[in-house]
Amino acid sequence: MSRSPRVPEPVSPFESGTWGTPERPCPSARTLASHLDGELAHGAARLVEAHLDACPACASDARRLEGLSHCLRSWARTGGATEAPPRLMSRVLRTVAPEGAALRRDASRSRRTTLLAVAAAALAWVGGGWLAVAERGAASGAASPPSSAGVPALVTEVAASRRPELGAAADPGEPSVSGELQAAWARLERIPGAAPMTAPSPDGDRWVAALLAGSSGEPFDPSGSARAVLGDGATSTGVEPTALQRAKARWLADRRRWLDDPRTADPTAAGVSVHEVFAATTVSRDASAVEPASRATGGLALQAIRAADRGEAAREATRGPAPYDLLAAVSAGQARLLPDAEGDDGTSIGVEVRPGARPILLLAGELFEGGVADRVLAASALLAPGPQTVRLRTRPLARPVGARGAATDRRPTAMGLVAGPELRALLARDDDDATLDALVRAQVVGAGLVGAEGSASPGLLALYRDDAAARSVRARALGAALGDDAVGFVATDPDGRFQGLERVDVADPVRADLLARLLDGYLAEGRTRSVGDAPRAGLRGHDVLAAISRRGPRLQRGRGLEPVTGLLFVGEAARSVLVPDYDR
Amino acid sequence: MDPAPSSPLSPASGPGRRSDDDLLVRAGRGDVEAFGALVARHQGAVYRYCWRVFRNHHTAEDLAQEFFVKLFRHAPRYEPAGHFTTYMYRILTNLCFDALRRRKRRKATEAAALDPVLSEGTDLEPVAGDVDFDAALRRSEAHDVVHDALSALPSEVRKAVELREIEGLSYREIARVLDLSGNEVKVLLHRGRKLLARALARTAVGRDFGLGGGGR
Repeated sequence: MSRSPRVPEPVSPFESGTWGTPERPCPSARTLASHLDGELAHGAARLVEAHLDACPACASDARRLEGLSHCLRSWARTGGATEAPPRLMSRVLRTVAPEGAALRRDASRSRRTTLLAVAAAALAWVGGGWLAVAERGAASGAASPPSSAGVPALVTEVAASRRPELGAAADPGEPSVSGELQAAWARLERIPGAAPMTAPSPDGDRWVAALLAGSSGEPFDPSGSARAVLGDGATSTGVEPTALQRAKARWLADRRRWLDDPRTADPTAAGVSVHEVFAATTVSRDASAVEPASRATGGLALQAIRAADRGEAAREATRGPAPYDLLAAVSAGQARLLPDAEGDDGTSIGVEVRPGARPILLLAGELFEGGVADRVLAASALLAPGPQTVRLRTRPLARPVGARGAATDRRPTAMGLVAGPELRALLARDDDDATLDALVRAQVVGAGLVGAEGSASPGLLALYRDDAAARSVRARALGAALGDDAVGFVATDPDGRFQGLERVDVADPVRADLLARLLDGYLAEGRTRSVGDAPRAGLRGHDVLAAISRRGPRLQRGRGLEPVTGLLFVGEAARSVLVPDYDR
Repeated sequence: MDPAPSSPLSPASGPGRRSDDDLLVRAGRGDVEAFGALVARHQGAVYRYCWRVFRNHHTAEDLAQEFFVKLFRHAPRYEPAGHFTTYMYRILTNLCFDALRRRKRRKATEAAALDPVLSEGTDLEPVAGDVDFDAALRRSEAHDVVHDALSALPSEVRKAVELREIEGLSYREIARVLDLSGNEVKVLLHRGRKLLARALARTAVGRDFGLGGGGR
């Protein structure tokens, strides 16, 4: 580089690498850059400025540095990236909303515990003081130390009363299998003949293989009423729907037999997938995903079975990881919604499933907001973990006005959590049964899957009949009636009109037995349709599940009980690789 | 070179406007609305940063999303000390450059013809009817040249240069983001500028910006 002669500068007291000496007349390039970056102290900057005025070589270097800076900023300004795409915000909020809810719950619990601890401490202090006064009056005057023994005991009790949720995330946003579940998994691995899922994708293959065994090999007609949802593998193997349906029937029968008596039946002989059985019994994550959606429609508070059957090793041994809901799977990097998968007609979305430890359960009615149109999933799907790309049918609900993806991004709602205002407004109307049925099927998860012909449950519809005030009261009453230790029934008359709401506690074996007889009574009399929830506490929960599973055929004929909450809904979804496409 | 351009992520000010720290602390308690406000405030800067690293809109969008999700998950552990900017850039640079490293590794092992990375920067953008295609081409070439020169820098050097020149962070902030001393930042910047000036000096865009010829 050709440089002009340097002008000597006085010694600068401001630089550690001193410049301005005859040996080193100019500031270093780093000093110059620091000056141009505004990082030099005022005095040092003044000296550099003065030097630049007098030294053409340094001034040239400074201009070059400024040119580079302008070049980079100009590149950044005009490089094509201007604004974030409008959907970024909604994508982010959809992902974090469930985790936010979990954080809020945790915070609320923590506050409760703290309040209890404070209250207990206050009580202990007051009690201790009272005792001390009493003792001072009664005894020899020796002062008692203030007692605080009750405080930790109380807090411990409060903490212990919280049952663990198997399969729930230990850390919000980090879906993981709880310690309890991991222990069950470890036990499974020790059972001879059990086939724990070690590699995810072969398991999915096994499902498909089980489905296709004995099939006719006739060409598959995707316009038929049944649809394989495991992935492209299932739909491209050339099997026509009735063959698939036959395979499904066999497959389900095997599993029902096993569910009826898991202690004697060999799960591997019945071809029972480990995580599939778990999915049928422990669905807390999924329930937490769908519950708010249900609530938003003024509908049922869906309750999930919590696997509390800890005493039953055989059953525990069959549990695999609880399935993810879609959001959790996306958060965990096990699934991705394909950005280009949304057709202009909004009838499908594409999901890329990556290898992972847990299957993914998508519930019919799950709401997908944004993009071309708000949509709900048309049919439930259980996706095996493993590399595959699946296209899932959706039903468009409301097409936003304006450009692609423009309308819903402004709504800070989250996928699967809040129904859109249009839908809520529609649900508030008094419509005929057909319209109501369609609306309920679209929004209230579970309603579409349980009925005999894919229709909404009459019991559920009964909740929505009559005037809006009555609906609201019933929904609230049902929500209040169903708890960890109770099942609820909506009684209807033969015409499907709402008759009453019943609640049965099942926290203890006697009550659970009563419930079983009650179920039988309902079934025998055939006069009542019900909305039932599974008990979530104690060993009896599993028995109720097994009992209801045994009555599956009767339920499917539309007679007697029609449980439409998390219990059978999720159970059915989890056990159905093929699900009826009720969007006929 | 403008002295200390204002940081695009400087702490919020003005009546009724919550600070970034405050919003993130609220997000840590599960306040999704507060987090939404934070996203709205910074999504442009984050997206542009990701785009500049990858020059691919899909990747930038995915990474920006990943960044915000990560930010949300770290929020419960966030200790507000008025350093949101550096905290944010620390996560962002790590995220982007980790992804870049993985991508480069993959690129090295896959056949070039099959590598989707090669299609980066070729997004088809709608163009107006009266567009000057020559100018667009020249602009596009210029962008490629600058991007290539930046991409050729060692990653730490590139991070420092971009944080300073484009994001407008001070030396101290860069030092916090990259976990370096102030002197190390100066060294990285000096090295980066020298390499960039040398790479661009031979190009038309370099000459346009007066980078031709030598320098220290």
